[in-house]
Amino acid sequence: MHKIIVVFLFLISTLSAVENSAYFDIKQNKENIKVLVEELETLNNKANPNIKIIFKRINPTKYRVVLLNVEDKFNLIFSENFHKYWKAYLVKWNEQNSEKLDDGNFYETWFDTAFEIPDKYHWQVNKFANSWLIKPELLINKDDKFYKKNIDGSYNFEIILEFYPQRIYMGLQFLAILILFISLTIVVKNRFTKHD
Amino acid sequence: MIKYKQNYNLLIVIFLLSLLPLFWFDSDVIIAGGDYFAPIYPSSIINNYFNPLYIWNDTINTGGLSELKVTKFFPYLSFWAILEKIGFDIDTMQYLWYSFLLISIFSSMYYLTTVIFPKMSTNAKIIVGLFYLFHPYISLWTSFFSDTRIVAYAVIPLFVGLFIQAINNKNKLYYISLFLLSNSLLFSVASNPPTWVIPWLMIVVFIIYSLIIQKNKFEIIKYTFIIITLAILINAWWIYSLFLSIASSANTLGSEVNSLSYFISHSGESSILNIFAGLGKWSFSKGVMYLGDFFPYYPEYHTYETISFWILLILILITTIFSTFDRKNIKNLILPLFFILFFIFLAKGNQFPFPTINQYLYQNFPFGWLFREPISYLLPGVIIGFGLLIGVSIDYIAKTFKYKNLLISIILFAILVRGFGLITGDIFPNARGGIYSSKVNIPEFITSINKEFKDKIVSRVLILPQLTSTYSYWKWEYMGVDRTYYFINKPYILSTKGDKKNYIDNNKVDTIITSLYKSIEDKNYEQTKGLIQSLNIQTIVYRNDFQYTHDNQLRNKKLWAISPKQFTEFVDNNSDWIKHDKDYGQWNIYVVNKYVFKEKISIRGIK
Repeated sequence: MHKIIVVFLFLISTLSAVENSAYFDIKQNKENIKVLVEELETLNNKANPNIKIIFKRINPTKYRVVLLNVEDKFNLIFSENFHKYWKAYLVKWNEQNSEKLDDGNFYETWFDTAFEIPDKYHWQVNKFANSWLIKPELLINKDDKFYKKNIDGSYNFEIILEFYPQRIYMGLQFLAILILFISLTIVVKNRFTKHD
Repeated sequence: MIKYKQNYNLLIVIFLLSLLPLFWFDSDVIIAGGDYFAPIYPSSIINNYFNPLYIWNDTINTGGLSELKVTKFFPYLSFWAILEKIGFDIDTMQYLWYSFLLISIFSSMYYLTTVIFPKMSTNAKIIVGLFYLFHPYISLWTSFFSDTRIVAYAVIPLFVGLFIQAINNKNKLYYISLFLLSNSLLFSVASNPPTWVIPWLMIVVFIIYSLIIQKNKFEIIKYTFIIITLAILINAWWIYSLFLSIASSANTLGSEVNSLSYFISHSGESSILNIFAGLGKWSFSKGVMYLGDFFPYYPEYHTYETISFWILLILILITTIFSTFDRKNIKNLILPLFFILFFIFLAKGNQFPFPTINQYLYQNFPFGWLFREPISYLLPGVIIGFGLLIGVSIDYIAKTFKYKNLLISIILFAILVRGFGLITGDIFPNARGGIYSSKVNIPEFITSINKEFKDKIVSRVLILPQLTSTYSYWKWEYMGVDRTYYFINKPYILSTKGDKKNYIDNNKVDTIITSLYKSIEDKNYEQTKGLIQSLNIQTIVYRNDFQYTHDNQLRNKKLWAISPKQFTEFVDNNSDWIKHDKDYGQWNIYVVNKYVFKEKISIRGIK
């Protein structure tokens, strides 16, 4: 029943996701970002010498990524074909996930438990792949439940990469199954009560 | 007693139909060729390449929108997958599939005839069902090899019959529910949208007919509105997937197909008489050129078709005219004639009469351009109309003529002769000249590859050699679309050199993959390494059973893919990061060194 309510609320989550993007109050034009990418090619290794990435493909539309020991900005490359509806969400830090990644709920990014990294930090790299600019100073300035600060000053984050239209697709599939199920119930009931 | 005897006939016919595929092919062969390849590992195909649960598909190249691949799972692939789960081997699965199809096609038409003519005798309805089943349209090379069209052919009469019941029957809730359930039977048909539209066009014809003939017009409109709204909601999930892909990229079909000149040239190849016969250019003039010889798609057509066609046509026309002498029969003829006229008019395309109307519809009706070869899609409407006319005629003959048994026997004989290929198995052509047979022996090593890849490899697999054409040639005597993904069960990288017929939708990815192949051919190994990293390739498969040269007869040029020699050279020169792993029959497996291999998610960009 809980899941049914969640499905009906997926439209509301659309609105909340848009609202959350205001969380990142950054004004940076595209030109600056391009320059930054060039810099990052060299920066990644030097600025984040101890960074560690653990990820899990939950399904074709959802990946859980755990970033450990982040010290500075970097770009997160996701080598799946670029599409503007691939979204990156910062989710609550879960200590257990640094050891074993779980699948989580299908609606874990729908509400205010996740913050969408704005589209202006999402662009194409390698001529086909997705990339997000991740800046630790922006991720930590709101709520400490979204990160863990390590003793050496670095941070741990958890990010979910998700293909946004999957939500609508799932909702429509649910609708189809519901109508088919009701139809089947009527047919079965009718067969047992009436005989043509 | 007579009714009991007739029902007995019905059971005998169904029983015989179920046995028919036993005569078609030997054991250990699968049907494969051209656009079709029997789904030999259905469960893994559903899980990987035709997964209905997700709108993004990450198995083909660098991933993309699932588009209409989501629809294939039901009923087509699910049928095979259920049999696989039960434990049947490929021979039995194949036999049961074709057996099920034959019974479904026959029963579906039988049901529609029952709905439209409730008082018609069982024997007449059996003959209508047989006419529909043994029609050369489905015996044609292109139809029985098309999983979408053959499923549509089986479902359309049932679908239309249930809609008619939902509108006319007093037990509306029951029949509306049944009709809504039958929508699911058309899911896999939706992977070919023009085919999916046909039953809906038949419903449009029926609604027009009902609004003209029946008095309760308001009720018809009301229930039609309710049913269609619910049907749209049932199908909205894949329609959304389709529209998202259309909105996300430029249409892959491009302007060539969309142009009026394409419509004019492709719809003019079948005469009105061809359409009237329920056939078309595929049976009369289409085929493939190979080494300078022409091989028709349906080689048996001329053997069986001509005489029996004329016998049938003349008999049907005469008896139909005779049956109009009985006033009660005139009413029965209206709906079949509606179907015939409506679909012949659309199927004729750019031919006399009124070609400008067809041109206008093609250009201005939403998605009208999908019917660029209208006859190949719209013929089932004509055949169903003819089938119903035959039923009316036979019923009339049985009641009126003295030599009724002789006449009915001639009609039945003509029907069976027309579809003789279906009895003998000639619908699946044997080897002709340089063309391979469509009954293919799959090498044993393919099975071990499937098992191995299923458990071990996780990242992308580079398939070599690349394809040289839409249809590729294999040394185990198979010619058709590449179905390597049936065997390997994992995300793969594969493109084609030469004719690219809807193989890769995404040009930018195609450019990268083509560069990868070219870098191997040009011995630019530094670039190869970079591309292998950015594409997250962990495994490389070289298929020695693949014919890497291809003579393109149409374009008069020879195409080469990466040869075994080129590949060996590539491996030898890069032995520091590519290591030979295993061989499966003629397939050589190589793995990329873990220090070179890049995961799908990383923090490093590559310029």
